[in-house]
Order: sequence, then structure tokens, then C-alpha cells
Amino acid sequence: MSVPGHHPSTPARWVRNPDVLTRRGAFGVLLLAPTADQPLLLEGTGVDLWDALDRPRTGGDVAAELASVFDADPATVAADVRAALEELGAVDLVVSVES
Amino acid sequence: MTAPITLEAACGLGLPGATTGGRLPDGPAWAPFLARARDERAVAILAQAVDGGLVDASADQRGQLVHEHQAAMRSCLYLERATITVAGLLRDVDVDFRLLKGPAVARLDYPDPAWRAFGDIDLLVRSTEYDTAVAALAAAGGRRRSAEVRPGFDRRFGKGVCIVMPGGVQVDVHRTLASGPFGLTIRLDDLFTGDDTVSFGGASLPVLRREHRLAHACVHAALGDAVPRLVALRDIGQLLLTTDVDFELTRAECVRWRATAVLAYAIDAAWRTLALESTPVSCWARDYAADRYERRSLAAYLGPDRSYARLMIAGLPAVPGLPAKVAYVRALLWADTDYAARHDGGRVRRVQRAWRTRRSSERVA
Repeated sequence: MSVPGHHPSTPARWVRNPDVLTRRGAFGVLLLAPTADQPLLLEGTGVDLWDALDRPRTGGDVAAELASVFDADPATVAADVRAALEELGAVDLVVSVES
Repeated sequence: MTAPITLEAACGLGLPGATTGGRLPDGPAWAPFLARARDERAVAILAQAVDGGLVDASADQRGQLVHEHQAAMRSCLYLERATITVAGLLRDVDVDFRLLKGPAVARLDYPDPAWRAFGDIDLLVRSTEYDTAVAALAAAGGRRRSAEVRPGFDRRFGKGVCIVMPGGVQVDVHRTLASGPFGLTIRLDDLFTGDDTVSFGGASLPVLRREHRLAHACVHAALGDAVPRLVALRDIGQLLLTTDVDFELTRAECVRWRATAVLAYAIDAAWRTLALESTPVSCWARDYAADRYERRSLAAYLGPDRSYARLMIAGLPAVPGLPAKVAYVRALLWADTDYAARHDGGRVRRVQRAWRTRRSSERVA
């Protein structure tokens, strides 16, 4: 995914969009982006991904943390995180910030 | 096996001095318990209490609560977004406002907003800006849910109006915190003191200061319905037991507003209903002796005889000055034709009912 204004040689840093409305419960985390028709529900490891984005971080940093927490294959987690960030970014739930 | 918890006690779960342990009722008692929790907007409290291990629940009950909690929170997110939109409409026409209840209490007074569901948007505006606020919402497609007694009555004497926005979101535009006598003695400028705000969705919105949020919670619990709503009582316990609210300041304000009985009645109801352990504040509330004016005014709000007409008649002594009293009575007796036809079966029947209600209030006092 290309990030406007971002130099392609440095990895993008992602953070939660501060304009997103959220609720957390046993169901997971509900996220309503400013322009979305419906909230998106994150469950399971999606909640951990959301928690990890409380400050600007690269996808690599987030993947390394989650791989460590879940004792999972780093390459697999990195691919999952990359896909998830692209999906969340496409609906304005996360935004990229300048380094 | 432990005894099942009542819905009333369950609504106190998580508060210091509240019931601990227990289990949700099961078998045939579960469906009506859940239905009533839904009606009282208490599903969020139950779901959070079960998730936090404060009360036992079966796997099926847990699943139902998780499902319904998610639905309630989805609704709250839409309402919060609508709140931001409505706030923008008011700011566009320079109307000062305070966000009431709902997201203000959920986000500022509860440990997590997921504990507190809400179903509409409540805003307080100044009497002088009331018409501008209502017109701004109407210009955005909002329509009044009920007719005004007479043009200008709401702005001068009324509690406010419910505006239904396109899409169905209901916005309660308040001029004061209650209908009837207590709504008329609240010093409205007091409510615009303080600079507390609540932030969500990238917006920062002004709210009542915490001491006034407690006063409003008590007004809402005691005067909003003939029987206090459980979530309104929970708000009182939440504010008094888990926040740094200055109760003496709230009490002093209620003395100025001739509404100390409302404060005492609501706090006592919260403690008795939610089965909370006594505190100095709850003992004060239990032992408070209301004066004649307070007893008479409070009686108009309570019990099965409660009606809008009765509240309006009971409000007469609280209207300041003879000219205003005359205008108040004239508006009530000679309501707008459209209003009278819809609410009282015509003007003649309205006059008859009004004076019957007046005599009934005098007998109660």
C-alpha cells in the first residue's frame, strides 16, 4: 500500500486514527471511522493489533511484538500484520505518520 | 447453590459496597430478567459484570449478553457520531450548550464507557438561545416530536423539546433539567459554570461540571419517571462512590435551587434499590426532612397519578412574579388549539382537568 507523502525507502509508521469512535467489551473492539457506514469489529489477535497501535509504529515493530507475545512464526505474523494494516488504513481506522 | 441476584442489585455490581458474588437467574426466570434489563438499558452493566467475574452466568447467558452488549455499543457509537454532528450545527449558529448524560457520564464517570449504554442525545442550551438551537436542528431536517403548549412556552417555562433528526436519532434539547416546579427553580446560569469537556471522535464537547452531573443524575432519577430508572440510580452511585465529586457543593447548589429533597430522595432510592452499604451521604439522604414546598412539589412527580398537566399545575408556585404567573396560567388554560386537541381532547376538557389536578395536588400537600 502506498502512503501519500511517504518516502518509499523508509517503512511507514502507523497509529490509530484519533477520530475513530471505539467500544471494548467481551465481544472485542468496535471501531467506527468518521466516514464509515458501520462499525468494524476486531476480535482475537485483531484486538492485540489495535492495542499495539496506541503510538506510531512500523508494521515490522508491531509484527515482532505480536510474534513474541504469541510465540508465532515472525514471517507469518509479518504478512498478517501487513495485510491487516492495509485493510485498516483503507477504511481510515489507522493513519500513517511522518517519521 | 447461590441465590440468583436481582436486577436491582445487579445494577450496583462493581461499585464499592455493592453486592458481591451471586449468579444470574436461570431457567424460566432468565428471559424476563433479560427483557427487563434491556428495557432499563442495563444490559451493558450486566455484560461488563459477567465479563469481570463479578457475577456467575451460564455459557448461554454469557453469549446472549455479549451479543446484546455489542448491539447496544454499536448504537452508542452511532449516537456519539450524531452528537458530534449536532454539536457542529449548534456551534455554526453560536449556541452555547452543555452535553448531558449519555456519552458525558459514560466517558467521564464510569471506568469504561462500555459500562453505560444510552439511547438518545441530551443537550442543555440557554433560554435565550433555545429558539435558535431548535431552529438550527429543524433546518437540518429535524422535527419536533410533540407540539408546544403555546408558542414561546418552552423557552420561558418548559423543560425543552425532543427533536427527531433524519435517520431517527432523537435529540432532547433541554432548557432546564426537569418539567414542573423543580425545573423552574433551578438557577440555569449555574449550569454553565465550569469548563469540563468530554473528548471523543476528535471532538471536544462542553459538559456540566461533575457536581452538576450529580445533581442532574438525581433530578433525572427522581423526577424523570414515576419509578426511578435503574441506570439513573447507578449513575448516582457511580458518581458518589467512584469519583472525586464534591458532594457538599452539589448539596449547596440544590439548596439554592430549592431542590434538596430531590437530591435526598434520589440518593436514598439509589442506595435502597441497588442494595449498597450505607455511607454518611446515604444516611443524610435517608434522614433528610423535606419542607412543605418540597414535599408538595415532589408529590407531583411520584406515583401513578403523575401527568404532564399535574406537573405544570404544581409548577405555578415556582413561577417568579405575578405577571409571569399570569402568563403561565394563561398558556396552560388556553393552550394552542392544535396542542389541546392532541393532548386533552379540547380546551374545555383541558380547563376541567387542570383544576381537578390543582385540587388533587392541594389534598396531597
